[in-house]
Amino acid sequence: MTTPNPQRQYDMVFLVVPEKDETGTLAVIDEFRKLLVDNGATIEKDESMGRRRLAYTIKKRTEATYHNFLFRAPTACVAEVQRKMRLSESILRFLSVRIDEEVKHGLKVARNTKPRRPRPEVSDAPYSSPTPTTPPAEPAGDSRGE
Amino acid sequence: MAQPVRKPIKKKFFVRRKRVCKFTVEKIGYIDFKDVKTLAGFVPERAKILPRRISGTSAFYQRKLATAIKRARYLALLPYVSD
Repeated sequence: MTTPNPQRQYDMVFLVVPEKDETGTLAVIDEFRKLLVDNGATIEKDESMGRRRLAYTIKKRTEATYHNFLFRAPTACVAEVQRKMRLSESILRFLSVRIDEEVKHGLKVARNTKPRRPRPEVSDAPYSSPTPTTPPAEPAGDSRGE
Repeated sequence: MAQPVRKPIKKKFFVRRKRVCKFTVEKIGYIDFKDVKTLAGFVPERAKILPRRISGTSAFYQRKLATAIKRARYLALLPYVSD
């Protein structure tokens, strides 16, 4: 293909099984980091989110180690990494999201929108001004009454 | 029976709390699904997504927020249901 393929930015989070100890977890992360780089990805952020309690059990696990990669890569690279993750026994779950356009569009909207001014407190001021001439005192034949 | 005290009919006005869209104010372009602290504020006890009529989030950000919460749920950062 001759069309220039701009590399997409992806945000990937994956959960390493809790049975792995610290070195084991790092080994798993290293493995995928290497896989990404080998497939032509440039990693922009490489952050451990630590060991967390899961909000619900996944495959009988109640906690897992989270790791986050932010990278730019061609699509084939992402597909390959996803395939490997699916096969891996030590990955409990993963999510990769292409975020470049979302971020771009979001920032554009954020620049161009202003916070709405809160509504004026009481809106009946124009209606109440003609009424004070007729005070509601002793309205004997008020149809609205009981 | 004493004559009933008639009160002038008054329209009741609820004191409207000032609801502003947090994301618009802070000019957040992208709502990160990893940012549990922010997201948790829009997921009350029942783990449902807070409607924008309550939170005051703008329509644009409510859509983004819903997506972010759903992504966070998939990663077990937030619950789908809670009892």
